[in-house]
Amino acid sequence: MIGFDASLLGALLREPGEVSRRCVDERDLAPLAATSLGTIACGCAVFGAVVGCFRGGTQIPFAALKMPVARLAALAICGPAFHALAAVFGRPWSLRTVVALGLAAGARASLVLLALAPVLWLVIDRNGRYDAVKVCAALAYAFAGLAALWLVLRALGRGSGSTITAAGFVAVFLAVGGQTAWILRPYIGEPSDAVVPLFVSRQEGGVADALARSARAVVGVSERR
Amino acid sequence: MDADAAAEIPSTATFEPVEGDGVGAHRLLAHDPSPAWQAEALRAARGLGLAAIFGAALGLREGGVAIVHHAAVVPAAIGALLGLGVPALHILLALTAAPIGALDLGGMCARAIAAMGMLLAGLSAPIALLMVTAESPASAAAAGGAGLVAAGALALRRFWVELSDAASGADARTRALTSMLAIGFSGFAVLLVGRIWWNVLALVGGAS
Amino acid sequence: MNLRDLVIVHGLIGAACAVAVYRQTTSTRRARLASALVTVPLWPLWAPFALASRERSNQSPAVAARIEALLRVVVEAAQGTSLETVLTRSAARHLGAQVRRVAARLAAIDELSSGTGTTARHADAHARLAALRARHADALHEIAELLDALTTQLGLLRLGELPPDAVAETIAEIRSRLDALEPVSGA
Repeated sequence: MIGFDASLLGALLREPGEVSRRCVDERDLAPLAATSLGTIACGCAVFGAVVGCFRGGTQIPFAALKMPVARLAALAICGPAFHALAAVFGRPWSLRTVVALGLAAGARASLVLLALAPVLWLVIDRNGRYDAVKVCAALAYAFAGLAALWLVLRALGRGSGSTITAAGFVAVFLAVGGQTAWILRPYIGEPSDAVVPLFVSRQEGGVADALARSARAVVGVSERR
Repeated sequence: MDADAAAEIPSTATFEPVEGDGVGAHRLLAHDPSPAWQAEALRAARGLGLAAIFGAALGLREGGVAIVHHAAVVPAAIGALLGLGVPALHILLALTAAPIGALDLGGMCARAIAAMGMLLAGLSAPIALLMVTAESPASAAAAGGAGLVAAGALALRRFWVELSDAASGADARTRALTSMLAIGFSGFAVLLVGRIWWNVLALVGGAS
Repeated sequence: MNLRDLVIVHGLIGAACAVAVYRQTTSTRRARLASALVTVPLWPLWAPFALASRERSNQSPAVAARIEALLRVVVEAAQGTSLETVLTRSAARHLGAQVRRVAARLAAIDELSSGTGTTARHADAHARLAALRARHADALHEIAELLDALTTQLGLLRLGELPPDAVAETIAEIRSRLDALEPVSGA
């Protein structure tokens, strides 16, 4: 029976090269995929719950549910794009290989988020400001993303086309991952919201605009709305 | 810090596919050692079909007839380049005495179109999401345009490299002329295909 | 079109994939149900793995056909070389017959694997069948790759770029791979 294999977690963290070779060689991918899916669900759920702690109450389970959904949706949508990018730049891997790599990379990132969750909780517990919490969460995502990228780079190797393939992967995942996260917002809610809704339906400009506003707020540049 | 060595995946400068389990992708993009017109035409047709999937994804923002319209326009622009630009290029290459026959040129075009189509098809799912959920029309247009530009650039680069490789055995004058023709063809391609997409795709404000 | 429509389409495709996963995977009923339920929302991420074993079994006849086609190409390519007395049509027919026997065993294994059961003995039997299947299927894939390489080597031999010994080594490797399966296939 295909199930969660805890021994793979160590391999994801310590031996990304071995995991990436396993994906490219298509060796025992089903247990790897199952373990990665479970790890993404749990790691993102814990991190989401911590993010939700900023508001507390129902935001904790809401954010815990939304974060893994956003991550898994992004991976599902990016799979065919990764497959095409790898193929046109000299690596005609099967879809199974590409999806397994994506899942393994996502699992690695989720483990990093799990590790950084206590740090973010500490910032929130120390009465961190709203925009500071948002930027800290974004930094956690950046570290997690780098960890995931490392596994993908091991699979791509040093051959021709590896840099542009990796750049393509990153660009597509940032666009899709940002959009899926944006669709499922809020995770913390605006400070002015007395009650945080489950989903936001009003137009707010988009992902990049929101991140830029938060970054400006952190460095003290005020903005008129 | 892990200590195991990187997984080495060999590849060539022209991104020629190495043997892998992605059999379909490999067959669609690889050089055929015994090329034939029918096979290359089929390869190009598959590439255009894959590009149509991307067009359909672009049309999701408006829905309805726009899906069919965009699905037709995206490959049609590439087809226009095939019909108008490639024969002219073949004639000019013959004038420069470049050692590139009609079937060779046809194969290069087919592989470039196949690569473009494959990339566009792969980007269809992300684009579909962005078309349906992007808050501003400008964001949607930018995302769709970025996909078309990226795939077009890939196809042109692939074509350019193969053309240069094919002329590599010729004398310096022929090689220089071939490079100039490749640049000229690329410019023509950008202008022609870009113009059609800009004017006809409703997503970027063209006629619907 | 809006996000809700996309989600509905995603769900419908997921439901169809879940049915395929439930019917085609070989495991206990509980595991098949769990796999099918996971497939509904996560079909782009799970279906490629859940359906992998069935896909490999469908590829086996294709691999066998590919091997037989490659054998014909190899015989043609050997004409006019020092190996044309080794790579004869009758030798290719003999190898083709061996490949067909292995493919027939694979089909028999697949038929046995499609049975369902919930006991530990059933699970053990399925695992042994899966291992046997993998050994045969991997061998066929490897033989196809070797024949592909042999075609190229014969071209190089014809151009004088490769000694006959190197080509003979590849031929011996192909024969030994098939012969290694013979004691099992002949049982």
